[in-house]
Amino acid sequence: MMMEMTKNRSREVAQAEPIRQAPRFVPTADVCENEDQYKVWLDMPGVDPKDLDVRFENGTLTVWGKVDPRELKATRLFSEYGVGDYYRTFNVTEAIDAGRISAECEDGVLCLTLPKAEAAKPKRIEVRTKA
Amino acid sequence: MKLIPLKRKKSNVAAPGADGARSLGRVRPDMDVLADPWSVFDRVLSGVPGLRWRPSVDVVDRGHALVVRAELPGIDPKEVDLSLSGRTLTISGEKRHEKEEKDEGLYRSECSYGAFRRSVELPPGIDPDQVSAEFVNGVLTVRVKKSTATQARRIPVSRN
Repeated sequence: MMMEMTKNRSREVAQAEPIRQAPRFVPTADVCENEDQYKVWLDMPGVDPKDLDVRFENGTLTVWGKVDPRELKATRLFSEYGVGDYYRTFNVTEAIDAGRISAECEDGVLCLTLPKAEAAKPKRIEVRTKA
Repeated sequence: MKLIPLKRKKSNVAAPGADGARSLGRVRPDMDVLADPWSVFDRVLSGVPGLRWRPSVDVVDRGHALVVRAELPGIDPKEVDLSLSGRTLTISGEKRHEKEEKDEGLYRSECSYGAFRRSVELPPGIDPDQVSAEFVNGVLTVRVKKSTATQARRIPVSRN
């Protein structure tokens, strides 16, 4: 297992007490793997790339997107989604080269690239025939 | 709850298979289901080709204008089609996979893709000529001005 996610909300709260008043949401994620890297896409509509905090600490990759809560003064005729912060953590093992993790954000989708450590990459072993 | 294997154009792209190491892809927190009962429905539909996902929409009355917002993460604004017919505002488009590579070695899939269409009926008294739309950070914002006849006005009360 290269990576797994901490999904338990109560644990999240125990790790870091939210200070901001904004509600928190767990963004949906797509994860895909190839020989060299893992890629994670997180749907975070409404997040300005400037307000994204992606950090790696003690084997945990944390994504925190700050979004200001919606205005309260206006009359809502109907609302289907909540506005607030996005927060999700991923456990990252040594199979990932943490120093080369990169992130980019476009149109409300954050894309994380987690390159595999050299030691964890699959290697092709050449088969020779005996002479 | 099991993750429904995604049946996309390439039909065998499935989600995490029999491989035990990938079993984490199976579960989605039930909490999400409680927060948004539609998610179950969407999840089922998203597995069926040709059926659509349902982006969330907000409508806010700002007094002089109505503001409609839709969460459309990862969608190219050029792919969004917006039309106002009478009082019905329709948002449609398609969310595509960023790359084909995503289909290979898909490990976990929670995001929705495919075509969508939402229609919102706005209250009477809008001015169909004064509509503007912008797309910022995956959120589409449509502003529809109210016609001056329906804006709230203060009526002075006088004494005889």
